Amino acid sequence: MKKLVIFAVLVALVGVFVVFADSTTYPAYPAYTGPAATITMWAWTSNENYSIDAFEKVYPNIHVVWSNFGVDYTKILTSTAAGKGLPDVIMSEYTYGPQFAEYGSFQPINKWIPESLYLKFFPQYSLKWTSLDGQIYGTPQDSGAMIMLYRKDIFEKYGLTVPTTWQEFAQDAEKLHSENPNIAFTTIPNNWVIWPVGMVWQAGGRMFDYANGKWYVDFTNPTAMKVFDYWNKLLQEGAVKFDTWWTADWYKEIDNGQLAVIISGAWSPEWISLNSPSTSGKWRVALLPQWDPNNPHNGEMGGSGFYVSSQSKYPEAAALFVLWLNSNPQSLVYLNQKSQLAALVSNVFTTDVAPSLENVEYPYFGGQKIVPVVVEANDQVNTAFVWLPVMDYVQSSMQTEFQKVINGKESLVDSIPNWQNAVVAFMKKQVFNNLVVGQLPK
Amino acid sequence: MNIKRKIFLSAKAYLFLAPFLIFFILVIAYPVVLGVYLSFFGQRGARMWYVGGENYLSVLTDPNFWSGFDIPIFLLLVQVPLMLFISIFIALLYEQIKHSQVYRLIFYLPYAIPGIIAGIVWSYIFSKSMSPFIPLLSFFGIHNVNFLNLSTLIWILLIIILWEWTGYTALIIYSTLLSIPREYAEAAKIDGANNMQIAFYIKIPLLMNTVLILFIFNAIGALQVFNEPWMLGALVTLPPNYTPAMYIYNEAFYYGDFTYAIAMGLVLAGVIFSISFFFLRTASKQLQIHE
Repeated sequence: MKKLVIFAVLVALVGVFVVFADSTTYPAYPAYTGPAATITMWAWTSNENYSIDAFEKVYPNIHVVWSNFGVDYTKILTSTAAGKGLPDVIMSEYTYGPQFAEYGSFQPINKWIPESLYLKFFPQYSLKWTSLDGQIYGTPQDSGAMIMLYRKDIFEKYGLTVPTTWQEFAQDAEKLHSENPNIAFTTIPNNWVIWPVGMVWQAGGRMFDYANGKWYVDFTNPTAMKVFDYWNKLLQEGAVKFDTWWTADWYKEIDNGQLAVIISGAWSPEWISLNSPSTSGKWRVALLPQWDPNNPHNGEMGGSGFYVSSQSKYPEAAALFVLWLNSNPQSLVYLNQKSQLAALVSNVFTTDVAPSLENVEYPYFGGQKIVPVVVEANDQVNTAFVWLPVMDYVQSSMQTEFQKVINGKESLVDSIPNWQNAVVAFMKKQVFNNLVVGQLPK
Repeated sequence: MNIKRKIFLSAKAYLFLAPFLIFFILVIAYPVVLGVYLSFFGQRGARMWYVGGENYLSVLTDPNFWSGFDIPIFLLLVQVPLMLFISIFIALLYEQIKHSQVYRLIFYLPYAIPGIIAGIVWSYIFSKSMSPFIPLLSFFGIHNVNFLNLSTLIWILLIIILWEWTGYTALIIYSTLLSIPREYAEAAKIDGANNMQIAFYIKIPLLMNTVLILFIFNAIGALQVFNEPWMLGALVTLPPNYTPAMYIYNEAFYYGDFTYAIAMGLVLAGVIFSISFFFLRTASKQLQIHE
């Protein structure tokens, strides 16, 4: 009798897992046990519908309605505060994931996607972006691994070599500045907090983190200050300058060839080909320069996850969808080819998908095969941290401080402690009592 | 009978008032009452907790809120009087020239363009790469001009708001001029007054009630200024508290602290009310003395 019960339980357990996976090395996706469900999703990537169609064939009881809401975080915020209006699945940059988790916009999905299953499909470090306190809220989609876009024509004209160390990068910047001050070697955004944080990350550091129920803030740690010192020097020499990114003026500078290098995330090849068609063929993609070439390291700028909202009535359906969307090989091919996401975070992408895309040539980049570059950039990311739950404020206080730097009222290096003070004051006002200032967890 | 008739009359009055009253209650009175209630809570996203009057204490001692008043006060003291002065001048000209309806239409047009759209167009006019002034300036050998930065922004705001509102204001003053009985000016003329004297001693004093109302409306607009700096914020990085209205918006929709934003909104309303009341009181006293 006892044996029979065990056998029945085993059969039931096996029944829950239906084999859908194309790959034999990855576990099967869980079956859906709930009622027929229609779930809604807010996401701004293009052409998500290819993956959705494939998903609905595998899970016929789940229907997904996707609407492209732009990067409209205020809508998430107002719907969260109002207690209604959120869709079942929300797309958010990793940078803002903890903020929305703190606000109460997400709900945990460990019940359907336990950590053990999650870790089969996604790397360990990505849990820093999709979970908080052991509660998993979603899955990671594209990688924001940092890469360097550079103008091959400008490099050739002024005899610049693609830098592999930050020292070479500075030499290039100084050389170009002395030969043609009208072209900026690169610009630092005064309105994109992800950039300075990413530069510190790339150097192997971080400015904040979360561990054991406490938020840690330390903007002035030695690694961070090494990075800010470096940019401070280049700024003071005039070799690089501040600029307001994503503005019409900035796009015009890109079109006019007044900018030689853009440092950004792995999604930026798609972004630049859409936003500056007139410079087609002139750009190339390269890995970032290193602080220590023997020990290469990379950080991320951007990249987004798909999270299950706190207001979802079908969390199981939503959880299965975000798992499948961001890890199924077929879906990953669609996301790469149709949605133009160069690198996906899932392990499945690295093992099963990327090898088949290695030889795809990109006409916009003069026929360069960019997938191997972004995959390597992604492989160099091996640390992560938890973003602060007040990133909107971290950004706006940064803008205030950087504006002072632009106006010559303080240096970049001097602005960092002021920036930290503003963030700490805000977090205290927002009643984050679990705040540790001036140190980081191990 | 009398009482019945009274009831009937007031019922009829309320029936006509209903469209206004319903919307007033729905979009003004109810939100204000709810806002006052919510302002006694602390908030972070979906979490709320009771804090009593703490939000108001924070507003009163929040330097970011009060430093945001620099811009509105500048507009109140410079833009509004300047605009009223120009408008009176233009309105008097309307009276003197032929085919003034053409000018009235042209000057009125900017007001017909929604502020947000005007903001976008103006931001291109002052953009460092697309401004139509760039070819002109480079013809004179001036290159790489950046019109739009934090320190010039206030003057650009001044230009935009003047452009937007002067034609409209002039039209209102002109219509007031039309309502002044012709006999006054004719009598003065017979007594030997010239146009200038008629304008200064007869017409302008009679315009003062309208000008006062216009001043108060524009003062309210200046204190709530949002659209124009908000749109220009796409080209130049503004501090989140550039104006009180922008600070309120950012607190609510970027930082998720809706309840603190409500408290600031109510304090701002209080400030506007006090300023309007002060002007109305002192100005109407002076007007009475003159009359």
